[in-house]
Amino acid sequence: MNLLNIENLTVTFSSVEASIKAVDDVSFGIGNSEVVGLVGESGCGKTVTALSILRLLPCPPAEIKAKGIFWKGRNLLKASIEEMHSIRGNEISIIFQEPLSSFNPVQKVGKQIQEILEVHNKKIENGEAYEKVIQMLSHVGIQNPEWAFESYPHELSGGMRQRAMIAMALMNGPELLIADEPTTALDVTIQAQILDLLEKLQKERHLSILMITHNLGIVARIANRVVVMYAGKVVEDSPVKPLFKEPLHPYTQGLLKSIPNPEKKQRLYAIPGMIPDPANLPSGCTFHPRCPYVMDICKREFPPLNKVDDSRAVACWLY
Amino acid sequence: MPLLEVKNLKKYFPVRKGFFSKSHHWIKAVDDISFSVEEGETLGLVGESGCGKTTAGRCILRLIEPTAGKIFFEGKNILDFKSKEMRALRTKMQIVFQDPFASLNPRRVVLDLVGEGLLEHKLVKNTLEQKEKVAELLKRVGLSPDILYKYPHEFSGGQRQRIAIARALSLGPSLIVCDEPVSALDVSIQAQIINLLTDLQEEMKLAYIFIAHDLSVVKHISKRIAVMYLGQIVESAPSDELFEFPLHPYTKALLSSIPVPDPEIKKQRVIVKGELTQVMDREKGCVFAPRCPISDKECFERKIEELYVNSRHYVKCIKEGGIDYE
Repeated sequence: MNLLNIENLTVTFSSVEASIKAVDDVSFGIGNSEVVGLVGESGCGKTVTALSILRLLPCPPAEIKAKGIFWKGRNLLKASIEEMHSIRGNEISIIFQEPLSSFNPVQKVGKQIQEILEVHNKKIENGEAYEKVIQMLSHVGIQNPEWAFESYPHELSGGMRQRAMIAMALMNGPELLIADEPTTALDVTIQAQILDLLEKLQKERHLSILMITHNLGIVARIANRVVVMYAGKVVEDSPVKPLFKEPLHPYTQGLLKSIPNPEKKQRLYAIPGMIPDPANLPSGCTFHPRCPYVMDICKREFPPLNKVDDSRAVACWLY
Repeated sequence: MPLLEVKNLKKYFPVRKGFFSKSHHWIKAVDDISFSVEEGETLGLVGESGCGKTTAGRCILRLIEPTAGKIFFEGKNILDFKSKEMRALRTKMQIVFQDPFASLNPRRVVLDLVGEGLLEHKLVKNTLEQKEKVAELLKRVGLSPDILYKYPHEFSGGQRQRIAIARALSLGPSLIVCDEPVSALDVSIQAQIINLLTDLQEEMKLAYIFIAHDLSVVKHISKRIAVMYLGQIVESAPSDELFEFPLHPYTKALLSSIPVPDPEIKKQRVIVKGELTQVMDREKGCVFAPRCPISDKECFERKIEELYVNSRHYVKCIKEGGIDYE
């Protein structure tokens, strides 16, 4: 059984003028110690999906409709506030893109991490908690954990902050880590270090990771399975190797072809047109105005996410 | 004669501790770099944030005044130019910035944004001619000419970057400094802009200085690449050669850190320790030594000179890149 199952999730943001479907009928699951890459361009709904898992979206303006988001069989959308408190940071953790804005700037990094321990375990003693934080900080590769504990967030470098963030997320030994573009703000050499760290932690702790990113290179490196989103919909769901070898959806194909390949020098393939405005989506398949294989039916109806074999599914009328 | 030749360019920023105190320390943002760009050629300038690539780009246009060095454009040292001469020169050197959300004035319509320089430099006689010229420029960068009276907020990131490119083209430059022109854009839009830039280069014989941190993008567009680290060019080579035979440990590390979009390839990695840290008042030794996997005492103490492997490829490393991948 999957650890987490999202079933028919739809998130709408309403304002006086318009209501925007940021996420539209999204379903996918995350298995035990599986790394799922959630890929898509800005505005495609990947972050909103992640935030709705933890119910971190302010409702209103957001409105979540779904058959359910099932965490080990329990529907998170029906859980009480207390239950959610005990799940967040304890069973499911999340790390964000910009660690500087996720930390409290006026409190020492160590104290903030320690707080996570104390919130979920009221009886823990100060000394023991301190020890645990130091251990975790050095475990995520911070050279001088005592110094980091006493530092304020701005005193740490970008890579260190992200390490501290990861330490904080893993403090209570969660089973699922949601990583929302964790390396986008970092330099490539630091990005490589953080990916190494996540890979190591994943193996040691049998963590499940939901890796949200727009970088297909990162997905290829770290994920077992990939979910591709476009304009609020899942368009392809596939294990990582076949996806890169033989992408099915025209959007996935276009994305892969548009990355410059250092080995070959040729004109880049560019998907024509633009990402559609979420308030004004095209009819039928939302990708049809940009698709090279567009047919009549594509303009009328959105294709269902159909299984092509045991492990792959694609939402496209071609299959 | 190269179109642009930069010799021993330096830019030091003073570091002040208090408001009144005199500065005793310097950050060497650009420290003695030299390179040249031929007509119609692209030079890639690569490095991580804080390595001085943007400062270098801005010094070339004298948007920041360099501390020392010489910049020859068409054979003349532009650092000797008076402001009037500089103004005339601006028609030949232009810049495209990273963030098209910040580089376009939100209160001005496209016609003004793109066409202001035309009137200012008297390249058009009247506003009617200006309008025609702007419409033509917009068509050239792939935008519809009837957006003349729209404001920047009505456009997506990719379209804004096209407007910024049209603006850079408006005065008919021979050199454009592209400062991370695609890194704020989505993957599918990035490819469109890169293709546009290469098309324009072919059509108009433009020379680019392409500043970016993404090596695969730089490789795609440049003929030569200079790798920067902490204000210095640590390696410079034709781009194919740099990818095939990188010599500097930092170049190797950079190359091996690019995530490849192919799960079958397990990359050989050069791991670098720690992070880029600004060192004040560095006098001698290799800038990369504190993070280098093969550095020893000598690296910290000796003055590092450029070592030419062939006439177009040099490296600043006394170990000459003697490491192999693990």
